[in-house]
This record gives sequence, structure tokens and C-alpha cells, in this order.
Amino acid sequence: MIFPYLIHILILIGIYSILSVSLNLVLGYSGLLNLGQIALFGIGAYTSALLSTNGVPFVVSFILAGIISAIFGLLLVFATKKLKGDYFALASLGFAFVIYSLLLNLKEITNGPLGITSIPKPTLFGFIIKENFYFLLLVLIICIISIYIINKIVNSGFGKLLSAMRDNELGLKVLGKNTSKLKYKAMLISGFFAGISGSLYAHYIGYIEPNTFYLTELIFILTIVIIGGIASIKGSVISTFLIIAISETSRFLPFPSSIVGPARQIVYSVILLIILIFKPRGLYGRIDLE
Amino acid sequence: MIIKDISKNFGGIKALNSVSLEIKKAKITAIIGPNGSGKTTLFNIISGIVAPDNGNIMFQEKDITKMQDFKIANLGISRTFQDVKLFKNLSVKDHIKISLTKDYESMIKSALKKDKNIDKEIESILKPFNLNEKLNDYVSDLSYGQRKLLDLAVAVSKNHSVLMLDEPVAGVNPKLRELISVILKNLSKKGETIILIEHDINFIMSLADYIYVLNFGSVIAHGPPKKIKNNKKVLEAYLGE
Amino acid sequence: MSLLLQVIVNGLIAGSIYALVSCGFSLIYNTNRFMHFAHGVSVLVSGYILFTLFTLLNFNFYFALISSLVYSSFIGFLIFRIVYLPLQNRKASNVILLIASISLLLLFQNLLQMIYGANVKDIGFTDIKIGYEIGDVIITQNQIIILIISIILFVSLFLFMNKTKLGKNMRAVSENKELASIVGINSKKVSDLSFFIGSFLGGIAGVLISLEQNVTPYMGTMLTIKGFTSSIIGGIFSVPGSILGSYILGLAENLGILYLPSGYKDAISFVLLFLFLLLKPNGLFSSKRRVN
Repeated sequence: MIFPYLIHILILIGIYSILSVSLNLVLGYSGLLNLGQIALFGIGAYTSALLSTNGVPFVVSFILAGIISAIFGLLLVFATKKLKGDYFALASLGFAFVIYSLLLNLKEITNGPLGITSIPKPTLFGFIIKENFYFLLLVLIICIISIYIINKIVNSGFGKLLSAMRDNELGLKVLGKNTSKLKYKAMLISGFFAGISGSLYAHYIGYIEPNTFYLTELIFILTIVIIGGIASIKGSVISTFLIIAISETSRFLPFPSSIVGPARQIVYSVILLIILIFKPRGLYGRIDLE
Repeated sequence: MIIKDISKNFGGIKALNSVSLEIKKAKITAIIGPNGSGKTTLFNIISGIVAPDNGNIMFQEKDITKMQDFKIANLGISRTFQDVKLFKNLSVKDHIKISLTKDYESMIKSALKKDKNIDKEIESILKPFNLNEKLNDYVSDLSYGQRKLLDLAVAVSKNHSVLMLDEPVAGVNPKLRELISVILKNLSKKGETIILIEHDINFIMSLADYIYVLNFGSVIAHGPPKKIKNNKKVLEAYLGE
Repeated sequence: MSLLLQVIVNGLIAGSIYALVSCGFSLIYNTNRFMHFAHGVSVLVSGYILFTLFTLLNFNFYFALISSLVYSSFIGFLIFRIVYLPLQNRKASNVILLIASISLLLLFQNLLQMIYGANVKDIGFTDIKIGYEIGDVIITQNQIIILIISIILFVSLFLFMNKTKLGKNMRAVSENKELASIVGINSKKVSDLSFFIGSFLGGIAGVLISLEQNVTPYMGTMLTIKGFTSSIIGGIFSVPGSILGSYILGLAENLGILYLPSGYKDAISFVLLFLFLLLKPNGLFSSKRRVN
């Protein structure tokens, strides 16, 4: 009886692990204070949902979700290239607002506040992944591959350049490295993985609407990344486990959902504040958020 | 390098006023002057971090005046900063690796290829700087003097034909100042072109082949150390009116 | 023509509310050098306290009004002391403060949603919804009050900042904190004051908009974003600039929906925000300080 619920939790952990590790890549390893990652998650979800509800096969929708999100990520870096530090953070937040607003208002495309329903389950090689157990396998495989790739990148020489850029961009420039190009590359990867995690989310839950990709969800994902620790992939994954576990088990509390919903958000906010004040490096982070 | 008529205005303050210098190959050229005389601004303009309002800079027959900072660095100009710009969360070894390796910028190449073993090269680079015992230490664990040394080591290890050093001995103890002086002298003997900004007059006098003196954004004197030592205008500038 | 006039009046009214929020926001930014995204909390607190005391518990309206303003000013001060000051003492970066403030805003939004429910609540002070027709323009009593109160408050703020000792101290701290403390100005007290005044203004905005429309848990976030956008448009370093930026935003929104579907009203402010952050992050009227 518990088994199906465990599968549900693991699927969510898988999806959000990819998203949080993708955020840590730009935020923690590259120093890009991207508060708009949630918008890329949403773009991925909507792309995949819109394509597959119009008959496009899952594999294509999935990959396109990653590509379109990556493109938006590149656009964000391009638009903000003259901004530094917290102004970049604000602009990325503004970007998230604009995307939210577009999702809400372009009703002919996105169905506005009503959202997109009946998103079909994924079909792989003719096999419809109807049962959650198989969906879990799909998510696990994609999750492991994604995290493996990102891990390889951050531990490579390229990853060292990203860390150097985070620590002192000017110092890296005078060593002859094109930091602008580095930012684009980092955002390309990060955006792609944010997008595919969005696609998985859309196909699992089956229903998405603009509010899923707004401030509340942003705080949720920031809480995960900060608790896990900046620039720690291990931290992000473990933190995802913890936060989703708290989130999902709270559903069993004997209160109506209109209370539990906001109460959960309050808990995240409080946890985030406590971590920021007392342990800003989180569980496994070695780096301070500058 | 030929620097001609460089001017720079910062919101009403004339940081540099038609400054011209000639940097001779294989010589140590020093730029000295009181605080605020425009020395670091000049460095920033040469290395492409700040754009001048007027004038131009020719390096090895190329006009680098409007070039981007990283492109100028790739042409062979290495520099250090007054406030040491190192990577707080990276190790000493990583710094030299980044400086030496060209391939890191390609994400796919560096993720797939195995890192070449350049340990020997790193060791020999760090030897004169006495930093080999600190190979795996993070910059945040180093002392101020060690950071100054690492900063210099990184600039030297990078492929370059000109070394621009902004106050390489600022705030270091006498022993370290002597070590850095020796390092620079050896580099010069090997034919390196060095441009130096410093406040320590004795340090400059013992090292420099040629000196330019800046005050309030203009060159007020230039010449070999002997000529500058007794220059009245220079003394006035440093001691104030 | 009369439609245009009505739209302009509506724009000025919206602008006044935004200005109350944004000048408090800008005041706090100038004094403390970071973005107090949780500014919307003072709007939420004043609105909901007014609702609770007047609508639910039937207290006297003016008593409820004053209480709500007192509470909202105090909340701003408490947030500074309990969250921001400890973070600043640990040398937290501006981004951490920004994240903490967004977190606080959502905390209060969810707290109020949990207690009162997500649906809108009407204050029920119907007297002030009486409309007058001045020429071709329809304007309600409450809207006239909004316009008058804002102007009084802005003028008072100007006098306070420029003519009183406390006000001048605040400006000194925002120009140069270190120098101000050398001269003997207690910068912590000045920060306290900035949060009190800023949150008080936010509280007034909260009360006015609750009377004008209704009370919802989301109004804090919405007004924070509008106030923030106005400050960016006008120039966050300048309190008068933020006020002007607010009127520009109010007018832009209302003129915009002459041509666009009304749902796009908020989209207009988001897009303006993003464009200004990219193209003119110093705003239109900021003369001094650069962005970075």
C-alpha cells in the first residue's frame, strides 16, 4: 500500500534533482545568480505539453523542451550581458515575471490560467508508459544520465573555468579566457536540463498551469539548492530528497488541503530563512553566495 | 608598446591627460606617481578593461586601443592587479593549470579528454616562488604574501611577451620584497619586457631601466633612474606643494 | 476625449498607490543599500488588520485604521531587526538579502492565506465608494482621498527629508554610511527609522487599496512588484524619481489597456520592468550613482 506512494515520491525526487542540479550549475558553479531558472522549467513543461497534446511523439517533445529552454536561457544571458551581480539577479527575476505573464496571457497558445490538461503519458518505442513504476524507471535513467553529464562537466577543466569565473570574472578575463562565451555555454547546458525536467514534470502530473512556475516554486527550488549547498551536486540531490520527503509526507497531516498547502510553503520559507541566517553554506556547500 | 596621447575622463575628473609612453622590449619600465595620478587607470586602458576617450595604443604593430580585454590578454599581455585577483575557491595548482591550458574553454573536449599530466611543468613554474609546498591549498588558505606570489606566478606562467605588474610588492615584508625583486631581475635577464607600477621608490630605483612619473594624470618627467632621482618636479609631486 | 481623460485619472490613482509603495521601497533601499522585497508585507498586514478589526470584529473604523498602520510600520521594523540585521552582521551579500526578502513575502502571503483563505475579502466601508461626476470623469470618494493623501504624504516626506535633523541624517547615511557614523549618526537607528517610515507608507497603500478594491493574500506580491518596477523606471536612487516612475507606470498600464485586453495590465508592468533593467537600470531620473 505504501509502495505506490514511494514510487510517486521517487519520481518527484528524480525530476526535481535534475532541476536543482541544473540550477546549481549556473548559480553555484558559474556564479550566474539566475533567479529565473523556474521560468526555464516552465518553458520546458509548456513546450513538451503543447507539442505532445498536438500529436508530437514524446521523444521529440522531450528533446525540444530541452532545446527551447536552452535557447531562452541563452536569450536571458544575451539580454543581461551588461549587468553584474545583484542586478543580474533582479533582471533574471524580471525575466521570470515576463515568462509567467506570457504564459498567463497568450491564451490562444497556452490556454492562459486554465492551463493545459490531459497531457499524454510518454510513449517510448510504441510502449505507453502508463504505470508509475515504468515512469519511475524512465525518470531514474534520465536523472542518472543528466547528473552524470553535469558532474563530468563541473569536474573537468571547463568546470574549473566556470568556478574561476564565479570567483573572479575579471581575473579570468586577463588570463585570456572569453568569459562571455563561458556564460553562454553554462546556460545552454543548464537551460537544457531545466527544460527536460519540465517536460518530465508535465508528462507525470498531466496538468500544468502558469502558477506552477512562479514565485512559490522559485522559493521551493532555491530552498533545495541553498540547503544542499552552493556548488555541490551531492548536496542538491540529497537536499531534494529531504525537501520532497517533507513536502509529500505533509500530505498525510490531518488538515484540509487549503491549510496544508500554504502551511507547507510557510515551512519552506522558514527553513530557507533559518539556513540563510545560520548556515548559508547549507549541508555540503563550500562556497558563499556572493 | 607605444602609448600615444591617452586621455580619460571619469565624470568630470580628468584621470589621464594626453599621456604618452614608450615601452621598450626586454627592459623594465616603471610608472610611478602619487596616489590618484592615473597609473592604474592607464593599466586598465592598456589591458582593455577601460576604454580611453582619446589616443591609441600600438602593441607589436597592432592597434589594441579598442580591443576586448581577453583578446588583448591573448595577444601576449599578462597583468596583475593591486587588489590581487585570484580564485578564492580554487587551489594553487588549479590556478597554474588554468593559466597554462588552452583547451579548457571547449566544454566537450575538456569533458571527454583526460587531463594531460603537466605536474612537472607546474612544479618548475612555482619553484622560484616557493609555492610548491602549497600546491593543493586553496587561495583562501594562503597568506597575503603567498597570494601576491601566486598572482605573480600566474601572470608569468601565462603565455606572454609583456608583463604588467600593478604594485607587486605593496604591503609585503622585506624578505618577500627581496624575493620578488630577485624574481623580476631574473625575468629581465631572460629578456622579458616588464611594466611596473610601484610606490616603493627604492624598489623601483634598483630595478627599473626607465621611469615615467605621473601626477594628476600627466607625465611630468621620464628618464633613466639617475635622472629621475634628482628631478625637482618629481620631489614636489611626491611631497606636495 | 472623455475616455482618455478617465483613463488618465485612473492612471493617476493607480500611480498614487504605486508611489506610496515605491517611495517607501526606494527610501529603504537608499538607506540600507539592498532591495527589501518583503515591503509588500506592510501592505498585507495593514489590509488584513483593517479587515479583521473593522469588518470581522466591528471595531470603530478609525481605530481599526490607525491600528493597522501602527502594526504595518512595526512589522517592517521587526523584519529588519529579526532577519536583515543578523544577515548583514554576517556580511551576507545582496543576493542573500534579496532571496531572504522574497522568502519573507511568500511566508506572509501563505500565512494570511492559511488563516483567512485565498478568496478576496471586501472591507465593506461602502460610504467611500460613492462616485462623483466631475466633468466627464467619474471618480469615487475613496479615489479622491487616495490622490489627496498621497500628495500630502509626498510633500511631508520631502519636508521631513530636507528640513528636519532626522531626515538630513537619513540622507547622510544613504550618501555615505561610514562617514555618517564617524560624524556621530547612529546608522542602525536611521535604518530603523527608514523601515518605520517606509512600512508606514506601505501600510497606507495597503489600507487605501483594500478600501478601493479588496483584500487578498496576493496583493502584497503584486504591489511589491509594481512598486519595485516603478522605482526601477524612475530611478531607485531617487525617492522623487520613484514617485514619478510610479505615475508613469500607472498611466502606462491604464493607457495600455485601451489597446490591449485587460488581462495584459500586469504584463505591461512586467515587460516594462524587464526592459528597464536591461536598457536603463538607473531609471529615468536618477542623476547620481551608477548601477555598479
